[in-house]
Amino acid sequence: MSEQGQRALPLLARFLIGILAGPLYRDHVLGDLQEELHLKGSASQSRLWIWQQVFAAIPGLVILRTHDLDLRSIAVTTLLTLVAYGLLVLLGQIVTRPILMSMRDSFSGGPSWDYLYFYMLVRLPGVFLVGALFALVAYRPSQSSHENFARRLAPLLLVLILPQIWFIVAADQIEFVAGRIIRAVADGVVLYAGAGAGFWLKLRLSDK
Amino acid sequence: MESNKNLGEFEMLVLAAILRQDGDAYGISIKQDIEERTGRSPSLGALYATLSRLEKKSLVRSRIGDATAERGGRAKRHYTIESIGQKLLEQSVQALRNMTDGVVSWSFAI
Repeated sequence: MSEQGQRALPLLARFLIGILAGPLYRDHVLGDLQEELHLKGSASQSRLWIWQQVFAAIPGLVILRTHDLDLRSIAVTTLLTLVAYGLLVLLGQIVTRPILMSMRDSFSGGPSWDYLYFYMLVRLPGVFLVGALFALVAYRPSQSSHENFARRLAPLLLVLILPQIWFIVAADQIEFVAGRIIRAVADGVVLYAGAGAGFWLKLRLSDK
Repeated sequence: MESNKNLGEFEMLVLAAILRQDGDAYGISIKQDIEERTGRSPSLGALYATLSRLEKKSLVRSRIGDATAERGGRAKRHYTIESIGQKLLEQSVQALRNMTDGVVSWSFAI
């Protein structure tokens, strides 16, 4: 309850409505709900009433956020992404694998094939997705992608890269320095590319 | 603008509520008007999805109003019907009337 005896909307309800209504309508939908609650007075069932309103609003708010989405573009983008991933796997088999094989044979104690496959097929796509999701949630459309990178993504990049530095410096694995540096650079580039994709998607969604 | 296209039923109710309130219509006032006159209780989500669609079709326009304490300091979004919206509403009501004349007994004049 507020100072005026006015019941405030539950935090989770505000969060749900805020996420679903989007920046254009968030304040108006929440304001309407708050005003309707105020008009109802302090009925004992008001908490139940609030949640009924929130759940009833969800389908409409989903339509509000999605009715302008260009589904054809999304389908084409998804298809192109899958094709690009397929090409990457193919490239890994035809080009990257022989290079890595040659590198591995040149150094003692290099990474196992299991790890290399895990790295190419799971870790890098995972880093891409993390970057995309992070940008989708945390990036601010009012700032450029470089500003967002410097202010938001850089700490996440450090979290990814610091273990590689730790392995080289603290864990006495100086002989793997080349591999660690390559992995750190690859992580960074893929994370940045993922964040770029997520930011692009966020800008498209905020245009609606 | 597809001026010859008829409106959906809920779009007609929303446009009529906006028209009745002469520039002061906003989410809750539209919702209450529909509730009082039709017995239907639309959700805020459905209402705003419809308002957004009508605005994109240029049938209504909106402006941001003042924030008030009972709204938790959040602003209203006021809606006004455009002349093309009013014309389309009249066409749609007329189309409905044409379709139901002789089948349904109308107890009011349009």
